[in-house]
Amino acid sequence: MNRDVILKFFAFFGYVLFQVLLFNKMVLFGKGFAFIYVGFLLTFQFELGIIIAMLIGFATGVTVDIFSNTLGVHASASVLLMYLRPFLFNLFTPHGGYPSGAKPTPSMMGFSWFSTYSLILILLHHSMLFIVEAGGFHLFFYTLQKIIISTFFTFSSVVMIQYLFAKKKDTR
Amino acid sequence: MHSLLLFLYRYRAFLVFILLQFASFFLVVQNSNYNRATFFNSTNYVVGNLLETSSNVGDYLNLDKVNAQLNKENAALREKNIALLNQIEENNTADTVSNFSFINSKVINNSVFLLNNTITINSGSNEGIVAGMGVLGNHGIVGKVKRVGKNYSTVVSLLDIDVIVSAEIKNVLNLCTVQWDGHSPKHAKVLYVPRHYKLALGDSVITSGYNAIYPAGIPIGIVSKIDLPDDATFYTIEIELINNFESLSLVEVVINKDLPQIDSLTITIEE
Repeated sequence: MNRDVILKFFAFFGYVLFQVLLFNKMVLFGKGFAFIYVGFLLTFQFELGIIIAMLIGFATGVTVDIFSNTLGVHASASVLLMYLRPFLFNLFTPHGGYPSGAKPTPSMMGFSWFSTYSLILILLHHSMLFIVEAGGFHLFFYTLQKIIISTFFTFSSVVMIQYLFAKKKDTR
Repeated sequence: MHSLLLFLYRYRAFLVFILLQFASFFLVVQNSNYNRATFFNSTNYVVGNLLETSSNVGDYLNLDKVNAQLNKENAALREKNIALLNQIEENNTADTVSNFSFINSKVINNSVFLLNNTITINSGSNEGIVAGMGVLGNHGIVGKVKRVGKNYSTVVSLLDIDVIVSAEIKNVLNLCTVQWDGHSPKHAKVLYVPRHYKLALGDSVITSGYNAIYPAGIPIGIVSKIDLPDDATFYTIEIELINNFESLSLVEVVINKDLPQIDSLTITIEE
C-alpha cells in the first residue's frame, strides 16, 4: 500500500511535468489537445474513496491550471471525472467483480474494458473542460470539434503511456 | 437534526462534488479579472522559473530563425532611423522626444489555441512593469500586461476573444475595432467599418491614437478578406496578423510616460 502511494506521488510529478512542458505545446490541427494527466487520474485503484478521489482531481487540475494560466478550468473537469469514475466501475463490473487491490489499467482489465471506460470519461472530462473554457455554449460547433479531436488524441496518448511505463509494475 | 446529519452523510460525495465545482468556478471567474493579485499563475516564482528553464532549452532550436528575424528588423529600423534623422535636419526642431519607452523581454510561455490565450514574459515589477502596459512583438502589437510578479508577468494575448483593440485602416478610416474570433491564430476580424468606405485587399490596419496603451501607428495586420452582404450595416473584414504568434520569442513592453497624467484626467472626468 505504502509503495503504491509513493509510486503515485512520483507519477503525479511525472505526468504534470510532461503535461505542462511537452504536451501543452503539442496541438493537432489547432484543435486537438492531449491532456495526458487524465491518465494519472484514470488509473487510481478501484477502492479509492470518492471524496479523496475528488480532492486529488482538484489538486491535479489546479496544478495544471497554474502552468497554463487557465485557473479553475482543468480543476472543474478533473473533479467531474473523479466524481463519475465509480459510476462507470459499477456499470462495467466484470463477472465475479473486481479483484481486490486492482487498478483500472489496460494490463489488468484488458484493452477493450479500459478503452470503453477511459473513452467515456475522457469525453466527459473534455466536454466540461472546453465548455467551461469557452464560458458557455457560444462557438458551440468549434468547441464540439475541439472536444472530439482532443478526446481521441488524449486517449491514444494515455494508452501509449500505459503500455510504455505502467505495464511492468502492474503485472508483478 | 439527526435526520439532517444523516442526509448530509448520505449525500456527502455529491455535496463535496458541488463544493469543489463551486471552488473551480470561483477560480475561473477570479482569474478573468484584471489587476487582481493572485498567487496561482505563471508569474509565481517557482512556476516562472520552471517555464523559463524549459523555454531556454527550446530556444537553441530556434536560434537561426530568431537571428534572421532580428537582422531583418535591424535593417528596417536603420532605414527608418536614417529617414528620421534627415527629417530632423530639415525641420531642425527639438520637439522629437518620444513619450514612449520600451523594456525588452523574452517570452517563456505562450499559447495560441485556447480562447483566452496568455503569454508569460521574463520581466516583472523589478524591471518597472505595471499591469495594463502594452506589449509589442517584432512586427506589431502582441497584447497587454495582465498580472505582474517580481520577475515574471503574464500578458493577455491579442488572441483572446475578450480583447478589443482600437485601430484604424491606413488612408481609409481612422477608427475601427480589431477583435479575434477564436479560430485561427493567424487571422483576426475588424469590426464596425460602415459600408460607405472603399476598402481594398492589402490595406494595412494599424493602432489608432485613441488609446493610452499602444503608440499610434503600430501595425496589426493586413486586410485579407472583405465581405459585404447586402443587408449588413458593416463590412465583414478579416485581417492577416503581422506577428506570428505561434513563434513569439522576443517582445517589448511599452511604457507610456504620459499615462499617469492621462489617467488622472480621465478620473477627474468620471468624477
